[in-house]
Amino acid sequence: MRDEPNLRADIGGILAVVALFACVAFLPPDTSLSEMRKDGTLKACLPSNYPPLVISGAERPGFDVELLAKVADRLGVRLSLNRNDAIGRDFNPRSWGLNRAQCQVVAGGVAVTDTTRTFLDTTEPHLATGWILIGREAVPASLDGLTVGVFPGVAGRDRVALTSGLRQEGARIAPAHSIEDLATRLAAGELDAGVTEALAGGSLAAERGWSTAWLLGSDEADPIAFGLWKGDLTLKRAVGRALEGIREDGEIEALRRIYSLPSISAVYAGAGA
Amino acid sequence: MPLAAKVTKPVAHDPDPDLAEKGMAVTISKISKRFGSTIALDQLDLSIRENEMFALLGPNGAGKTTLIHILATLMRPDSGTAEICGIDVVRQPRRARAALGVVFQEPSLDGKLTVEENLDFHARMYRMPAPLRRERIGEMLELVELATLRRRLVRSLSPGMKRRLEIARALVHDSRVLILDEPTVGLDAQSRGRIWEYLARIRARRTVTVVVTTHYIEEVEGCDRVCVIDDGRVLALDRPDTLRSRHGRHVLRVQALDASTAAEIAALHPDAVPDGDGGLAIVGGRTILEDLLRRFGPRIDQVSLERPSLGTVFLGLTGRHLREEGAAQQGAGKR
Amino acid sequence: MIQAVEGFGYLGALHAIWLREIKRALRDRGQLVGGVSRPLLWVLILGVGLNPYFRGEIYGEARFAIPFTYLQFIFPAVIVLNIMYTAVLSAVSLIADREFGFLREVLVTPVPRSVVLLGKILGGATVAFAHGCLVLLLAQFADVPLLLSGVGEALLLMFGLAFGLTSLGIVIAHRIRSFEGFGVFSNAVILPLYFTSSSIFPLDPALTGAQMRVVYPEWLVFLVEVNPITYAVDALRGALIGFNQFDAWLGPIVILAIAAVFFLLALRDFNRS
Repeated sequence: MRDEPNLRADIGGILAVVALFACVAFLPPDTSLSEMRKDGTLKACLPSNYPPLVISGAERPGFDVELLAKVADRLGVRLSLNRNDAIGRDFNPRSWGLNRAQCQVVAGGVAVTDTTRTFLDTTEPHLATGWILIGREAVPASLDGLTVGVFPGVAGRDRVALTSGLRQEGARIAPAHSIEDLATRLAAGELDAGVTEALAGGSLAAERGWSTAWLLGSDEADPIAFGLWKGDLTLKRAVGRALEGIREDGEIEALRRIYSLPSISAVYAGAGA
Repeated sequence: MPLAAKVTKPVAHDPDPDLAEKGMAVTISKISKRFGSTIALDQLDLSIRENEMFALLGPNGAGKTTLIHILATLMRPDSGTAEICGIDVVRQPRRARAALGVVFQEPSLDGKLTVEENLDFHARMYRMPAPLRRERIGEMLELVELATLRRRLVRSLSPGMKRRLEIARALVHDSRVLILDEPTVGLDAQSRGRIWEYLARIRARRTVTVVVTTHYIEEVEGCDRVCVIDDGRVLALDRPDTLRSRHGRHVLRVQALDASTAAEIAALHPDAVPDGDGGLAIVGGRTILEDLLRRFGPRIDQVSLERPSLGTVFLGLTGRHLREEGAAQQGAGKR
Repeated sequence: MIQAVEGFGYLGALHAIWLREIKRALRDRGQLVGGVSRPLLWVLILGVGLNPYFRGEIYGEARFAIPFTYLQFIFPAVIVLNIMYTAVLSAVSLIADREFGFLREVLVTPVPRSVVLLGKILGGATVAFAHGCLVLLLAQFADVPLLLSGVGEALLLMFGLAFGLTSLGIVIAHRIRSFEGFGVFSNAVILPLYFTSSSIFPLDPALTGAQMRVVYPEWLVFLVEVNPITYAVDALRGALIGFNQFDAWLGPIVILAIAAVFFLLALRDFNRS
């Protein structure tokens, strides 16, 4: 026991603790990153077609696919895509049957919401979306008595609130099981209007020359990101760093221009009601 | 119940002509304090002059510590008033504390702080400005000869050093009245001597009233006045030499050869007190000595006649020995 | 007026009492070791050890149905645990002061008892607060992003909590005479309070469908809901990871109430003795 207190020793003790904690912060908390590196492959699960994020059979494979390729490139691994028709078709992600064995990343429209984050961890968002209303000619001023086709698209958003809100407006709801389904039935006049997620709906409307408006107001946006399995912290950090680099190099901005993501300015008259 | 009858009736205050002229450092009037059915202080009156070295002498349980706790504002009296430098300790305890320096019987230092930090903490509590703090801490450490140990943690000090530090602490805020409750208890003779030396030195330097309790009777010889209290009352109050001449009695110490003789002697002298070494102390002079020798001559192992001293004054007044365990237990047993 | 001036005059004394507590804490290595090992064990060993049990395996299925990883979830609670231990145990110094007579020395100085008490509590709270901050050093490891606004709010809440719990420690110390008794009693207080504060398991069963299926027995829910620490943990979660199981305003109010109630209780006790 010391007879004289030593301020330097006291401060030294505290510095030692701080240093210890700082070192701990660099310990890898799990094995996800090392597993992926051992494999040499970054496996991603995505829907088979969800323009503009995933486009099947086109020259450009889609925003999320290109972004993932850049990430894999920066991580120095191959990208392996696991396209899954079931994604987005059923409202419960459980029936899509995605598991750890199939992929490390879920892409093609993962909204960063509490529902998603209950199941998945997410990266920093790279896009945002919201609900939009599509009309063949002009966007209807009121939905009262209209038949509205609904395709929720991106997983993890609050579709229950959406449909009950539409019912309150007096709309009859006709569920669509894919974006193509919605397009066909809207074009055939079977539906008076369509409601879907802004990215997919925006590119559809741009393609067909239909008009669009934000259903709930333009600030009602959910961010879009990549999903990772919870607990894969080391992988999440690596992907996050790669994305950060891509963003800093302006490549995300470039991708947005390439896919000419539609900008929607109109707002549905009943918004906020 | 051993016999502890008082030889002398309690005396009233010693009327002193100087009393009225000098300023009073401590004035206690009609202070009473009970703990349950026990009377610790009984209508006690006492005045202590400024710059006086005043000793409170009394057996354990006499009420000394209670009195000191009341003066230190740690305890409220049931009735009566006490003033420190004219400040009522009950009505203005914080102002009274500012004038007081207290050294308690039990140590009250922070062992995890250094010598200097203990003093600095204390000085800050008394709202002393920084330059004055530094100056006084230096002076007091010098006084109690701890200046070289100022950076030592207090827990590494010896009991004697700790006691010296406590005295320095009680003086650091320019206290006008210094109260010490048994400052020398548990210390070796050399440390005890030093402590009295420091007290003398500080009194030479500045005006400070010292109130000290002790049961080392030889220590109070150097005090200006000595007050003997027991059962919460003042039994005697005077200068040591006056006390000796006024209340001092010869005391006979008798050591019998066997127990039956001791019993006979005790029966003959009901006020005899066991002196702790298996003998008896009897207040009385040559006449009793001669009587004892005549009656028990061959059966007496040892006998001595003690001249009047403060010890015999105390024995005469309280019927108890100061430093004797038996006396202490007797005192406790009375409660 | 004179009272107010006098009050200011005691700032120096307050500082001295506070400083003494800090110095004692700095020189007490045992306390520092506890403050360091606790968060390391909880975050590092428990958090990482249980990671495989709480990580995602199948999209749509969750054993742990809240939108955070387990480490993120328990992280704010570990801060509370560290504050709680240090705060309550710092009140041991009151017992030590009484035992070693130092309290008497303080009480014969002209400083009012309320100032003495406030100084002691502020000192203990500062040390406990520092131990709470120590845990924040592990934020990176637990994947808790430290944003300026959130951290600012968290620090305020942490100090409030440290103040309240130190006061609680003083109230306990007042009723306990010995060191041993205090150790037993404080452990009997700290750990149950911690475990029933929804610190290591989420409570709100209405949060998600998956959580609905995990129904806790009513008595446990009751214990959690009557435990004020629950709301302190909730407030810190709100500040650090943006997750509240209860109304967001409730936590800060409960922390304020803890601080006020226990300080007043401690003051009453202290003035009485």
